[in-house]
Amino acid sequence: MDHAVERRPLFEALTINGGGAAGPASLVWGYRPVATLTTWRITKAVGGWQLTATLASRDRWQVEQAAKLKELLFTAPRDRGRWCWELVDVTVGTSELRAILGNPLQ
Amino acid sequence: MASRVVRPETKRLTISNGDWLLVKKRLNHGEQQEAFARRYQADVVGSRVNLRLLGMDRVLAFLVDWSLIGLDDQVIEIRGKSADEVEAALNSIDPESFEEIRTAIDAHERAMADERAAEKNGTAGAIESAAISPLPSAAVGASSGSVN
Repeated sequence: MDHAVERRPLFEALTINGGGAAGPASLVWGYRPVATLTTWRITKAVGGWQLTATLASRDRWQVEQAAKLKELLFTAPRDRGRWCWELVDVTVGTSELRAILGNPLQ
Repeated sequence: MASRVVRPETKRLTISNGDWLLVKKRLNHGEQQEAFARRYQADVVGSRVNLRLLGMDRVLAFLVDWSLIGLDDQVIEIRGKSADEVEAALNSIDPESFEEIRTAIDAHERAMADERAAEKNGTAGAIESAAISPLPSAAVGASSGSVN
């Protein structure tokens, strides 16, 4: 008898919203916050994780420098801890930020 | 040619009772200026040294995180907090512990300055930095390690 089970992802798509009362999220370069995000949304679809966020403030030079070095992290508060993702690519506008995220680190 | 941009790296310093401090490896110009600015306060006759912050400015400039616990046995969270909040946390610990932290950070700053000078002179590795340690009265075996 064949008991082989087809492995399928638990979620085909997933959306996480944050900001507001939970507190702002940040882009950090090492220990240094280089951008503050008031509201944010992460979606997981075919192709990976994507972040869209509203910018409260950012140090454009440091964001660009850290992005070039692939050393930017997205971090946001959650119940008993923080979310943390690596940023693969980032586009910074005047009030909005879009990024492709790597796998979540925590 | 080496870049003059300071990469935001951290170093872990072990202090007494198994506690640790996570500190900035080096300050950049902006962080240094911020520390100087905190040391001085403006008043009607100009700027004067803020005695209340003596020693605090360097600690605030370098300290990123720690393992110190509060009366509820939970770690006192300082990572990502404002300088005022970190200062309030530091003001809540006993004077001997603050002095131990300040001494460990001073020693770290001197060791980093020596390392930097050796790099500039092209003699990196030739100068041995003094081991970073807390007060002589504190526990022995202080050690350190790097974290990105």
